[in-house]
Amino acid sequence: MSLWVDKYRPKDLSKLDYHKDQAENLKKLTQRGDFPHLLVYGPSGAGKKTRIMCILKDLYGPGVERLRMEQLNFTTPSKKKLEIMTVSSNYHIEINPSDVGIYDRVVVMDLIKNVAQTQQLDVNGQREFKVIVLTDVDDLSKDAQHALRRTMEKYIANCRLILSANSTSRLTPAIRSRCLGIRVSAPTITEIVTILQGVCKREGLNLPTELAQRIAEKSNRNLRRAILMCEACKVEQYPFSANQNIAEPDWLLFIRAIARKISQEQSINTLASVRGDLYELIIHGIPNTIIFQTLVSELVKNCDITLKATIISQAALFEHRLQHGNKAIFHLEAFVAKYMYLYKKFLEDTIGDAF
Amino acid sequence: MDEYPNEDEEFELMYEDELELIRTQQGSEGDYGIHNYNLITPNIPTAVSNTKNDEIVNESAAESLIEEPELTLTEEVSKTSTQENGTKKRTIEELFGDIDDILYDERSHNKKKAKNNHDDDFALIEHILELRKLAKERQYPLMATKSVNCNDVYVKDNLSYEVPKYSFETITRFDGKRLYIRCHSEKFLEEEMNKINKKGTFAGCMGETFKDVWKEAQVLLNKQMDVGDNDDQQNMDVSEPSLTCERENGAQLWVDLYKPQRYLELLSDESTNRILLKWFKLWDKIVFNRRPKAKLKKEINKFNSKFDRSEFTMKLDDQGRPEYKIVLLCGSPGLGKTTLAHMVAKHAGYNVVEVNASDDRSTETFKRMLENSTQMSSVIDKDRRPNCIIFDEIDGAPTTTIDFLIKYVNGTASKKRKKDSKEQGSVLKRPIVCICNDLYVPALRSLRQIAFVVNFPPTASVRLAERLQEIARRQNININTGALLALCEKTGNDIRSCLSLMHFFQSLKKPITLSYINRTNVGQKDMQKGLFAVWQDIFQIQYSRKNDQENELSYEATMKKRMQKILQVVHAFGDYERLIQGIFENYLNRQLKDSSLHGICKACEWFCFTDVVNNQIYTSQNYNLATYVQYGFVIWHYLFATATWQRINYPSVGYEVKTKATKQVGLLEEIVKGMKPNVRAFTSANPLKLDVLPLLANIITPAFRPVNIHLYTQKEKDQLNLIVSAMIDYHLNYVQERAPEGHFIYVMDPNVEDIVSFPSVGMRRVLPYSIKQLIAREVELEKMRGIEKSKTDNSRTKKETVPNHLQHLKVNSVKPKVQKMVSKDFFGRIITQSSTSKMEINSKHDLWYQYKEGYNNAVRKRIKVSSLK
Repeated sequence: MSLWVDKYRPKDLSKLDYHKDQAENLKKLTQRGDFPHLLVYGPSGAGKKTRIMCILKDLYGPGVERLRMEQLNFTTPSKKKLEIMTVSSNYHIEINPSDVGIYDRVVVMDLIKNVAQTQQLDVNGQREFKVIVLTDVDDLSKDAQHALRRTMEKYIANCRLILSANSTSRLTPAIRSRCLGIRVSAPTITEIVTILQGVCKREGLNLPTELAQRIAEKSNRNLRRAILMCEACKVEQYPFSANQNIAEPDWLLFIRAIARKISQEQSINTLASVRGDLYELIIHGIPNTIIFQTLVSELVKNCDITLKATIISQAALFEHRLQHGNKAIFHLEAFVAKYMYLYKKFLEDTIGDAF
Repeated sequence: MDEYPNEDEEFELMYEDELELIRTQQGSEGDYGIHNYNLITPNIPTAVSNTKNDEIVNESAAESLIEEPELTLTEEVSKTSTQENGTKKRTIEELFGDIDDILYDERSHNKKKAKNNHDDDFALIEHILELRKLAKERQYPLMATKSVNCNDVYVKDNLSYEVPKYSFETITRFDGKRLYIRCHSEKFLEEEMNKINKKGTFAGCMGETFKDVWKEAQVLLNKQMDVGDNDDQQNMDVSEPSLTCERENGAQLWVDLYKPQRYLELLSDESTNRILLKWFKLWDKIVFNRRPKAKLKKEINKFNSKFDRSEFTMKLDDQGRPEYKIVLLCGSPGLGKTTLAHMVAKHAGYNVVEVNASDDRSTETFKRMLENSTQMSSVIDKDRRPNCIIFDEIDGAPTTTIDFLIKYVNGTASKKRKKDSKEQGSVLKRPIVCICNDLYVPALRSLRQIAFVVNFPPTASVRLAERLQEIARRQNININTGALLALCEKTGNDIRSCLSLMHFFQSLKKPITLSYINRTNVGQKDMQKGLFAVWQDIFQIQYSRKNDQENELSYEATMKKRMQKILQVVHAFGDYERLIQGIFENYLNRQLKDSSLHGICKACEWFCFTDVVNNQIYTSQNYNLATYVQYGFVIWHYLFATATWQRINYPSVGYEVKTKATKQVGLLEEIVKGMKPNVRAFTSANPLKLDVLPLLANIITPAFRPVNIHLYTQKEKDQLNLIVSAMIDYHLNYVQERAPEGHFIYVMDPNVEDIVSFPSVGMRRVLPYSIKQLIAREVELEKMRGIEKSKTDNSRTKKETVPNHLQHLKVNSVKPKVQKMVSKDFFGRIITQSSTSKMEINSKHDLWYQYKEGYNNAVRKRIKVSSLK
C-alpha cells in the first residue's frame, strides 16, 4: 500500500472526494435493510471499485478489508478445467468472469449458485445476504448474461450482486432492468486537481497548481492515471516545476507516433510499417477499442473539420465490424487505409481547388 | 505365362533366374499356343451340328418363321464348308474377325472352373439366362431371326459332340446322340446382338432380301477385319499379358472388370511387387511349415546379395517369423496398392481378410477381428487357406486401434517369452499388410518404426497407357496412344480414374482425340494445389497460350475466366483462413500501382468482410456462409495480380503475434496472481496494463546514487523503502540472470518491461546493476519482515506457531504459574506457603522441572536422573 493510488484511496463513503450526493444516497441505501442489486458503471479510473468497496465496508464493517485471494476451479461440460482467481472476504467474493473467456457462463452459473445457495449461518449481527462482485460485466458473453438474469432473481434472498462495467451498452436490457444503476462519471479536471493537491499535501509535498492542471488534463480524466502520473513526476523531479515533463504510458505515446506517421505520408509503404506497429499494440494486449479510440482522436486532431465527421463515422464502422470479427489487425489496417485514402483525396481536392 | 500353382511358387523363387528366362519364352509360346488352340477348336462337325442346334432352339417356335433362318443357315454352312478346305485359319479370321475374344473367354472359363467351385453356380445362372432368352425369342420372332444370325456366327465353338471345356448344357438328340451346348450369359448375347445390329440396319433386313443384307454385312465385315488385323498386330507388339476377364458386363465397373487377375498382370512397379511377394514368402516357414529354416536363410542371403537394397534386410526371428511382422504400403490413390496386396496374398496362398474404413475400427471390434483372423482359419472354405489380414486405409484408423495393433505385434511376443511355450496360440503367425495414402499421419508414427515400409512409386505413364489401349480395344473405343498418354497425365497416372474416364468416353460413342481430352473438364482430379501455388495463382495473371492468338477475348471474358479460375482453385484448396492470412501478409509487398490507395481500401474491406463471415461461421457453425468467403479472393486477384512473378512469403507473422500476445497475457496473469489482495481488489488486468504498470515502471526506477545503502540520506532511504513496498504490492522483484554474453544481469520478474515498453518510444531510465541488486535484496528482506509481521499479528489471536527449526528454547519464568497455582490440602483448604524461597531457587537455574501433582497409588521414591536411562 505504498503507491499513492493505493495509499490515499478513500475507505469510507463519507470520505469520498467527489460525487458526494451520490455517496450520501449510497450511504442511505446501505443503512436500510433492503439492498438491491447494483450496477456500477462509468469510465476507467472514475472510482467504481473504490465506491463498491466503500459500500461493502458500510454494509459489513471493517471485516471486509480482510481480503484474501483464492483460486477457484471449475469444470466445463466438455471436461475442460478452468481456473479463476477471486478476491474475497468473509462477506463478499469478487470475480471477473471474462478471465476465462468463452467459458464465463460456467463460472457465472456455478459460482453464483454455490454462493447463493448457502445461507449465512450467523444471522444476528450480520446482513442475511452475501455480496458477489462481478467486474467487467460488459465483456460477459450473451450466454453468461442470460444465465445471470434468472439467478439474480431466484437467489435474491441470499445474495446480492454488484456488477461493475464501463458501459451499459453491452449489457442486455434484462440485466439492466434487474439492477439499480449507479453511474460513476469521471471526475472533472478541477476535482482531479484538488485531489492531487490533497494527496501531495498529505505526502508533505508542494504541488504547483499549473502542474496539477497539466497532469489532470493529460490523464484524460482518469484519476488513477492522474495520481500515478503525479507520483511518477515526483520520482522524476522534486521539487516540482510547473512545466516539467509528465510521464505518460508508453502505449499512448506509441499510438501517437503511429498517428503521426499516418498523417505524414500516405502510401503503401507507410501502411506496411503501420501494420507492424499495430501488431505491436496487439501483442501488448491493448484493447482494440482503446486502440481505435486513441488513434482516431489523434488522427482527427490534424484534420479539416469537413473531414472529421467522415473519419469518425468510418472509424465507428470499422470498430463495429471489429466487434463482430476476430482478427483485429484486418480491421485496424482497413481503417488506416481508409483514412489514408480519404485524407489523400481531401488534400488533392483542396490543392485542386486552390488552383 | 500361365498361373503358377501354389506349390510351385517356392520353386519359382528358388530358381528365379532360370524361371525368368523360361517365362519369357513361355510367354511368347503361350501366345502362339492360344492361337493354335483357337484354330483347332472350330471344326466341321460343330458346324454341321449347328443346324441341329438351331432346330432344337426353334423347335417350339412357330414353324413358318423357321424357314427364313434356315435359308440363311444353309447358305452360311455351305460357305464355311467350301472355304474350310482351303486355309482354315484365314477363313475364320476373315469371316469372324475378332473371334479370339470368345476363345479367350473360353479359356478363362477353364481356369475359373479349376480354381473356383462357385463357377458351377454361375453356369447354372447362365443356363437359366439362356433359357429365358429362348423364351423371349419365342415371343418375338423377329428377334429370333437375329439371334439365329448371331448363333450362326458362333456356332462352331458353341456346340460339340465331345465334352467341351467350357460351361455347357447337354441335350440328347432324337437319335440318342448327346450334344453339348455352350452357355453364354445374357448380357454377352445382347452385346453381340447389338454389334450385329450396328453392322446391318435392322430396317433394311425387313425390306430387302437376306442376300442383299448379307452382302452388305460382308462389306462391313471386311472393313472391320482390316481394323482387327491392325489391332492384332498392335496386340502382338505390345505382347502384354492378355486380360482374362472378357465378359462384357455393363453393370460392372471397368475397374473391377479389368482388374488384374494374376500376379503377372499387375501394373504397379515390378520391384515393389517382388518385395512384397518376398515378404510374404518369408512367412511360409511359420504359416505353411514348408521349408527347413537353414535353407530359407540361405535363400534370403541370396536375395540380399542380389538385390542389395538396404531397406530389404529381412531376417527371421527365433520363431521363424520375419523380422518385420507388418508391411506398410503407402502411395497416392490409384496406384493399385489394394489390388497388389490382394493379388500377392492370394498368390502366396492366403485367404484375404480385409478391414477398411467402411468397417468399424474401434479397438474392441478390431481386437476381436484381429484375433479371429490370426488364430483361426476358415472352416467353410474348402481350401483351408490361412488368413492374411489387410488393413486398408489405415491412415484413417483411430490411434488407439493402431496402438493396439502394435501392441499385438510386439506385446504378445514378449508375453510368450515369459511363459515359455504355453501360449503358443497368442503369437502372431499371420502376415499383416497395412495400406495407407499418407505415411506421415501422426497416428502412424509408431507403426512406421516397426513396419516394413514399402513406398509405391507412381505407375509409368507408358505402361498405364498400354493397358488402357488394350482395354480400349476390347471396348471398341477409338482412341490413340497420344490421347491415352494425355489422359494418364491428366489424372496423374491414377489407374482408377483413367478407367472411369474411359468408361465415360465409351458412352460418347465417337473417336476420342487428344484435343478432346484436353478440352473436357471431366476427369480433372479435384487436385489440391499447394498453398504457394494457390497464392501464386491469386497474385499472378496467367495468360493462356492458345487463346491469345485464337481469339481476342473481350475484357469481360478474360475477367470472367480469371474469376472462374480463382474460384475453382480456391474452392479446391479449401483452407480459406490460411489463404487469407497469406494474402494479407503478402499483398503490401507487391509492386502495386495504387497511389490513391483506393484499391487497398477495397481489399481491406474484403478482408474485414471475410473476417466477419469467418467469425460468424465459427461461432454459429453456419457453414453455408463459407460460399461467400471465396469471392474475396477474386477481388484480391483483380486488385493485386500482376503478370510478373513475385516472391511470396509464408504468413508467419500472424502466428508469431499470437504467441507473443499469449506470452504477455501470461506475464500479466503472473503479476495479478501475486498481487496483494488489498491492492488487487481495486484493479484488474486491463487498468493494470493500461495505467498502473507503465507508470509504475517509471516510479520504481528513480535516479539513485550508485553507492552503498549506508551512505544514503534519510530521504533516499525512504524512497528505497517506498519502491520496495510498491514492488512487493505488485509482486515484482529483480532476479539474477545470465545474459547471452556471459555476464550477470538483474531482470524484473515478472518482466514488466516487456509489458509496458514499446519500440522507439518512452525510453525509460535503467537502474545500474548495483541498485537492482540492492533493491532485490531489500525486497527479499521486506518480504521476510512481512511474514514475520503477519506472524506476530497472528500471535495476538492464536498461539505462536514457529517452525521447528526456528524454535529456540527460552527461559520460562515460573512466576505467574506459581502465583496462579494454589496448593490445597486433602480437605480442599488452601495452603498458604511462603513461595519466595522457592522462587529464588528456581530462578537461579536454567532448567526447572515440575511434577504434576495428583493422586497416585504408586510408591513414590527418590530417583536420580542419572539412574534413569
